[in-house]
Amino acid sequence: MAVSDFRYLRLPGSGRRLVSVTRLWLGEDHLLQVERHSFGEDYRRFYFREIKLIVTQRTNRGRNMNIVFGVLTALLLLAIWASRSSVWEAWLVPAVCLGVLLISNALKGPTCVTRVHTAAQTAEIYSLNRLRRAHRVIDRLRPLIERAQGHDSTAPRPAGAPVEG
Amino acid sequence: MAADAPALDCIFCHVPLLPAFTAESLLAECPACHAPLTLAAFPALYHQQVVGEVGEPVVMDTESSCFYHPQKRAAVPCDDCGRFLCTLCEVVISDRHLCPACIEGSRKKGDLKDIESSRILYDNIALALAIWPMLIFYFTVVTAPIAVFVAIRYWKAPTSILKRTKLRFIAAIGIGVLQMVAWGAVIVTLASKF
Ligand SMILES: [Zn+2]
Repeated sequence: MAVSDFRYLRLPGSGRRLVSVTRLWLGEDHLLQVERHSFGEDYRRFYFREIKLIVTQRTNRGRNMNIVFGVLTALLLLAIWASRSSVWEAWLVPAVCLGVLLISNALKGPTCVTRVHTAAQTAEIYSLNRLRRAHRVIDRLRPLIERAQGHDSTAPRPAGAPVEG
Repeated sequence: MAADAPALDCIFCHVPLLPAFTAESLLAECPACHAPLTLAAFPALYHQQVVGEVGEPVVMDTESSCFYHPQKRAAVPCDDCGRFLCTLCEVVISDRHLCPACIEGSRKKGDLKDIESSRILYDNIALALAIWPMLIFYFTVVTAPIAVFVAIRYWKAPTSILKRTKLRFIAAIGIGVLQMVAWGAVIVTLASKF
């Protein structure tokens, strides 16, 4: 990988918590998890050569959020229908907001918890909290980690090597 | 490094996942609660844990010894200060062999990005000092000079180890100076009235 003065490439996904946002960055030989809060950043590194397992477990958080947003949107639509003659416009703004939240949450797909396991630590990757995205990122990391650990099953054919067939 | 690895439990039932896992079959669910899971396993999982080196003793008088452990044979010089180090003291960071003292010194200067666990973002602090007090404008008479001071004082301080511009510092100085100019104008106007 070409490494200029800028050593990190941002990987998709972000984990939002109360007062911080956590993102994952791809370095030359490690992953860097950056938790940014208002006035600082905390760093955690996972070196490719040390990663033993990446475990993803599907959670129900996304489904529960869909239910909550769905029920609230339905209630607001009901309120609009019930107050047709009077101030139904007042319900429209929150109904649209919740509808947008519902659709965006549904589109992001199922939620999950992703953890990296090394000899020294088991740590959650907060930005890989959606199943589809987590699998995509893990597929992207797999050859990098395997190469760092001396197992090169997906190495490109060396230039000039004869092609079979 | 600790001999016993950290636990890898199911997030739902907290049953350890690793004993149930073999090289032949990747687990597709928790063996206890049957919650679905995906395992990506890497060669390091099957490697033996490397036992930490203990440092070789000095055998002959003519051999150079470690600066920190005179009884241990020197293995490499520190790339920073040149002191001889044994295998116990030597730490390799970003392909450089360093001694504990140089690591501590570099860490304070923000030179060793690869071992730092946190950084303060002074540009965010300066910008917050320039912006938020505007909600109650009277505060800015105090905070504007502080924002400008913080921006100038920490202009060269280590910031995020990710790529980051000086834009926030510049904005903090610009806003802070504008606020001070505004206060200057207010004071001049008031003074001319009396
Ligand atoms: Zn379980």
